[in-house]
Amino acid sequence: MKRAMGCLLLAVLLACLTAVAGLADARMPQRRGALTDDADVLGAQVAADVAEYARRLEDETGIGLHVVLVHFLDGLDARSYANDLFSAWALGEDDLLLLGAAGEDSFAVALGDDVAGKLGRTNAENLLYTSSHFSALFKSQQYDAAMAAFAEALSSLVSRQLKAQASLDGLFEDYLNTSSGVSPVKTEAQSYASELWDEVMTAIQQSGDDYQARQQTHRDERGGMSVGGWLVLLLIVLILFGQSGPARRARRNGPRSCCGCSPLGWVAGLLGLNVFADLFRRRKGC
Amino acid sequence: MKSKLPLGVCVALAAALTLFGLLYGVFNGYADERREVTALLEAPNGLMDVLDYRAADGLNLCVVAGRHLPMDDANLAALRSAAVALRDEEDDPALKYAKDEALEAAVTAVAQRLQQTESFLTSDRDQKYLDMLTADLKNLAGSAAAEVYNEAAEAFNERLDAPVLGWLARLMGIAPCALYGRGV
Repeated sequence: MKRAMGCLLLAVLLACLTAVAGLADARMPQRRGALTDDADVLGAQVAADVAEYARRLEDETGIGLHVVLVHFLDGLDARSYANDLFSAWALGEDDLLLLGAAGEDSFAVALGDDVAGKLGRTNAENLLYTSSHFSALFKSQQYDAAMAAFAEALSSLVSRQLKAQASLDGLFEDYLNTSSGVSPVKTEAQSYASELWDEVMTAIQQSGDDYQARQQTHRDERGGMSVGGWLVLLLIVLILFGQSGPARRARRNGPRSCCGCSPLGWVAGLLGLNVFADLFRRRKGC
Repeated sequence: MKSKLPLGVCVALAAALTLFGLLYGVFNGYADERREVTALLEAPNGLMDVLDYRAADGLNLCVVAGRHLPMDDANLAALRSAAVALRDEEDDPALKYAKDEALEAAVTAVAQRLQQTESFLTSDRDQKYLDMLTADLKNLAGSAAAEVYNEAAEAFNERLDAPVLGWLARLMGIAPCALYGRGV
């Protein structure tokens, strides 16, 4: 039971470590809901607005919106990273992932096939460029405003393509107004740290600790034979001894009653102990 | 039940079974132990992943430096090629060590070059990114992954050098583990 639990725990731990690492070439964050802001570039209000907009969009259209913001892409281009992350998170046909890399001023979308069918792949990619000011705003580190512009453009596209309304009422109010569009407020990264990188460091440390714990367990197991093991070994030796010539002769030859173990004599005979009984009897002359 | 085989045949059979058991046990035991050691290299978050992440930080630094240095800058090109070389999956640990040393030197050179660039000195954001990346490179280099792997590999190699069982394992094709930075 303990072993099974141990195996299960090990499997769960390995799954967690693999999820943190994502693919070996690039570190990828774990999903933290509709918004995963590992770069910590969005303000609290806009972060809440993104989450609320994703909820409304899903309710109205069935499209799952996932926004991911990281500092760097670990050597991949934005499109490859977005596609790899889409797969790593096992997103489905109805999902749309927006990726932004704050330290690289680059971004991309990855779409499930149903979303591409509903919105049109080119239309969805244009959300970042011609349909909104997202590109310019993101590249000038106006991340809150960029998110507002993206949501506005996506809302408009949904309304056009699906005849559905994912309302922006009450959302992104500091950035959206009907007259001038998006207001130019610059929001840089709030912290130049990455929770993802910290998780990776912890996972690396954990991996070494796990190995050392396994080695310690092996060393303990190799520490010698258990009491039960010694008893089994003794029994085997006695049975072998019982098949030896002298033991067989002793079984053939004589009465065993004089040692006082008559009811269990057959056991003594099997184990070869009757040899000693014989020796004892000869000495006593019985 | 009486034995039908001659005594000599019984002894030979027993000896053959014992020898097979010994060889099978030695091979399996050493092979399992070697797999555990190499897992420290290749498993998720093992030493190879640590080096991959350092290479990734090198490439991330290329992006930051690319905003301030010309594309044909020699230091930037050296950093990019050192990072790409470190990501090569075919290498053994000894070669990886040399490539990681080259990456470290290239990162230092690019960082120094950036400190002499006016646009970099006026960019608070990129100065913070440089600090962030160099701190992560340092954390990864300071992780216990290399030390744990080398200790495990050394202990395995010592057992492989031990008389009789270790020699038998070598005869059956169990190879020693290469040490990170020091070869076999």
